[in-house]
Amino acid sequence: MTTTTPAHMTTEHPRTNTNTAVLPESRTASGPADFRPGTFALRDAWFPVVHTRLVGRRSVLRPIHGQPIYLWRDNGVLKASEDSPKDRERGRYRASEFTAGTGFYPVGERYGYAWVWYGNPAAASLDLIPHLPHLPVDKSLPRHFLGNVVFDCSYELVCDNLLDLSHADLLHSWQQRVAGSEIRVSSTSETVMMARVAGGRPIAKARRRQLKAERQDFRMATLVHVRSGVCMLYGSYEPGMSVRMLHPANPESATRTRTPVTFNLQRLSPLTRHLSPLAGHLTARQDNWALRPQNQRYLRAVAEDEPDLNSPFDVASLRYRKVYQDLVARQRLGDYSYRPDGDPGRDVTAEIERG
Amino acid sequence: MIGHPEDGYPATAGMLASVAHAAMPAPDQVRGGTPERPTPASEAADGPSPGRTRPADPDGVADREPFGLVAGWWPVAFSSEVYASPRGVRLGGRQIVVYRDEGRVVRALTDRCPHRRMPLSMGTVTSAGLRCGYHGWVFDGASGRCTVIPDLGPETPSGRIGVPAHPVSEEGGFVFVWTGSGTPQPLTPVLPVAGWERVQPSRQVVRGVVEARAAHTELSEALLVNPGAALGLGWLLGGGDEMLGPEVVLDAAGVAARRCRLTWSLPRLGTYDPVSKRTTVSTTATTAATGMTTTLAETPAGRTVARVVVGLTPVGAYRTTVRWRVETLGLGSRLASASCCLTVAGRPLTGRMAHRLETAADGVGSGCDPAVQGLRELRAALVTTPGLPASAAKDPKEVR
Repeated sequence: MTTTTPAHMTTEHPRTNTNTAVLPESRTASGPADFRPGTFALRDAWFPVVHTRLVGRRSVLRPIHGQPIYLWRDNGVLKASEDSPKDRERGRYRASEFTAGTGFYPVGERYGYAWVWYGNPAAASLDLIPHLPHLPVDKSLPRHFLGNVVFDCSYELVCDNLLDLSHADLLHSWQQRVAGSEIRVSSTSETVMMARVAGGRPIAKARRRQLKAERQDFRMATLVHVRSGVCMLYGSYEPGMSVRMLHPANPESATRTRTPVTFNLQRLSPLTRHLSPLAGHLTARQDNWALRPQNQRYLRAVAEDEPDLNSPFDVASLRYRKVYQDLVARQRLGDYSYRPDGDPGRDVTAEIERG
Repeated sequence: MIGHPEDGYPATAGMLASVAHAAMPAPDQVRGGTPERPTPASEAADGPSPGRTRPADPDGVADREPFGLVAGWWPVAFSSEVYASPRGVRLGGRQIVVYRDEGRVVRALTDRCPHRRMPLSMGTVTSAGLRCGYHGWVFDGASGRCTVIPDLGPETPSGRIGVPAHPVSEEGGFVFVWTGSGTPQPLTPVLPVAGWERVQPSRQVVRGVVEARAAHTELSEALLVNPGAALGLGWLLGGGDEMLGPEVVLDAAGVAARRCRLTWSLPRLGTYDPVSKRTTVSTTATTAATGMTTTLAETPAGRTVARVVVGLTPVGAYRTTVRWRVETLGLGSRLASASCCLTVAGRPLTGRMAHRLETAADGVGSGCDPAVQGLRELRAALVTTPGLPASAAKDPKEVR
């Protein structure tokens, strides 16, 4: 996908260079004091609401920011409407500003997902669908690569959690430790990317014979589209497996986020490729254990609350909060456009592979 | 007793002076970094003000009465409910976490990690302190200061990072938390009643916890008027009509009332005399600030048969956790204790656990009991002049 600038993109305040922070050089971290997840609905974005494999003649409900979205196929054509087909037969026609009074959302099929535009339908352009390398554009991956995880929190906290490395040592203790990694954070007006690189990590004893090596290099890139919550994870172990994962965070409500996830596991045995995606629910359960009470605290927050404290490991998380706050501030003023550096459809292949 | 789980009863003000309290970090001290100014729409045009911090609060006004309660020692749990695993409890308008550290000392911190707002009650207790379950920040139980941030390397966390630590006292089988700001006053959380010192601690103890939909002030008044009826222990404390006028004693810390009641509150046929004329004498003392209630029940022969302590923990505007603890004494103590257990076990079969308490609390407003009037006056004085109990050690005044 090319990085052409659509007509609806603004050209003021161009930011040609991305802001990049490297953890060892930046030992202090301060962030936005008034981060209020779940209190503002960012709009004018494509959301991958459901795997196209799951959409048939019977409608599927997938809300975004509390707005009902029913998806079904009408003679093979994907439809997304504000009312279910049965309700429409009964004469119920909701018509909000998100469908410009038609009752039907702009919808597209790409990367095995049904993408629905939440915002002004006149601004919907398929070029704004995020570019997802490592996923086939016009077909879905096999069913065993697909998952569906529901978190009991706002989607901002899910994105924040993905960019937060320091919780992994404690919550997902079976994963690689953070200490010793080089962490780089970069951002645009719409995205935040975190790359974590570690070389010569010792391999677990059980895996050494299989990989015929004692140490491996590790690289993980996480790219988050702040407006839509679309998160892309690209991890590579040399020698070892490669994980290419699409982790959408669809904001159904302030207390519910749906993640129709796609795993694309490489360099693994067929059996492991089939079984590994099931571990996603184990990890998600551990995250949800923390996110659920955390979300309540953020939703109940009042102005007198102390702002969050941060450690040097929270650089990516703070960058996410900053970009999010900037977007909220712009949209509060009625500016829903994308800036040139924030084109979601730009080719990010080299960016995430290079880390 | 401070920092010991044993149920020791002889409570004096002097013992409380050595409370394991800790300085509570002021709000402007527990903030790290240089938070930017919030950017609502009206201020967005001005842009953020990097490096700006909140103004200092030298008077500690923001920290005054952080719980929304009168300053005092409020019960939050039984000693037996606090283990090495942290427990989240609500007290007034604040959520706190209580736990026992490795030295078996009870600690209380505000239940909110300053990093990502995770409840610290979901963490674990380590030798270094209470560790948050999300990112592993560790907080010292005595001072509330953050002692460990994982993977920080040789750097140590700034001394400004921490959570408010609350003074804790453990006495008479209860864990108390001080809700005022600054140094806690050496007050006795449990108000002793006359004859208290003569009674040796009993091994026959029954405890109960009930959550009642009533304000703690009304519940404390109901318990002062008729603890037997409110707790459903009329057969032990006397739950029927009062046979004599109450003897009421007021002092700065609270109010005590000695009453002689019919033991059984049985329905009467018309204007006939009650079937049972057995009476029980009980003395009830209530702390003005917290509503902590103690009752000694006596037989007609003057032998003390039971000692009841009731702690009220306000968990909402109209919701209170009631913890009661009954010690039965004397020859029939085993039988009485077993009866208490049966009462506790059978209560859910006959209705809601809190039904009697709520009924008693609802009915107390219509009465004109002199003890309740005295308690209300004391409570009003506490609200208008905080710290009265420490400064106003008046001579007890007897009201008939």
